Amino acid sequence: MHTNTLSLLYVCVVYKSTQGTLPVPRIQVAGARAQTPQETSNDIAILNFALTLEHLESNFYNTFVPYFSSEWSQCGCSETEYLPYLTLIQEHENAHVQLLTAAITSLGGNPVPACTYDFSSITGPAAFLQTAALLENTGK
Amino acid sequence: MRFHHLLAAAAVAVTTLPSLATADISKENNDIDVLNFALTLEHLGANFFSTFAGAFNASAYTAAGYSSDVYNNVQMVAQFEQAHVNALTSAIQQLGGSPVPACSSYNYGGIFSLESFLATARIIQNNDVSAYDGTVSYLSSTSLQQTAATIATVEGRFASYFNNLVNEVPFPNTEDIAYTPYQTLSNANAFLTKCGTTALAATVAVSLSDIYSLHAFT
Repeated sequence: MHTNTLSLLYVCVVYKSTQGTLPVPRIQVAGARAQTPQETSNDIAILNFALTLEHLESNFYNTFVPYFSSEWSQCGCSETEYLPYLTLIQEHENAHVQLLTAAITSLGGNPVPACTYDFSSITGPAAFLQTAALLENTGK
Repeated sequence: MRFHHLLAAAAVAVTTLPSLATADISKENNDIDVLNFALTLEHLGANFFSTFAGAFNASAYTAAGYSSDVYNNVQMVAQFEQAHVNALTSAIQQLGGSPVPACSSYNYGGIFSLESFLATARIIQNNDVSAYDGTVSYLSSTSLQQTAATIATVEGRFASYFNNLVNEVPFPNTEDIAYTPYQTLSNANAFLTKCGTTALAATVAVSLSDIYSLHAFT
């Protein structure tokens, strides 16, 4: 499962590595006092790590929810059952991107941008739903 | 009244900063109280699901129009809630604390049907999600924060499942609401009226006091 997620992120990671901005969280214990600049920087890196996942998820739903809404019958799925929920998930994921972007900005950090993603292995609604289940279990 | 008392205690705490060693002990004691607060909720969840998982058999679910999967999933929820009790009990003992016991009985008055069980399960699970969201930041230990987070997401899965079963939106919020301990206990209070003034009440009082005191430091 992780391998598949990594393959979706592959283009993204290569891009980030060349830019030298791939967020690598170093988790530290924050005590009962004002944050040091290092701790703030650490928080920004962790939030950017989360934002990297939320960008992927939001792009994933923005790409596939509209596309498959016209081809939904391919998987034998009930469009009336699934589509309202998928649309709601899409909205929530986009809101998560905005929330994390705002949090990083408020700390004085630079939010990581979205990438170009490789979704070429997703060729139909069934593969879309399977990939959605995979992504959501990772993105928690 | 309680809030005024707590705020006063918090104000004192701010002006009398303890030495580092004292602060460490205080943090560990606070973590025990926070975990006991969570354990209080998990005891309720474990008791509730073990009670009602056994009260309705598989044919009751299919008779009510639910898939037989629902019966099996409810059994699994009951097992997982007991596992959460065990995990928190173990974590508290590792810190040298005394795990709060389960109440001798809980008040489930009014739950007579499968439908009302599922509707109540939904309320309890959504309350648990917001309880963890609201208290995880009070834990000083990052490994305990991770323990709490890994339980919280499971509660979130349960909440979505029961939301869906009773035809509510499975994931109603972009971000879940973080309850204060006071809000959480207010929501759970109807189930806890038979707990009396045993360890529960003492633990909850200590938890609230220390949680708010610690909050004043941070």
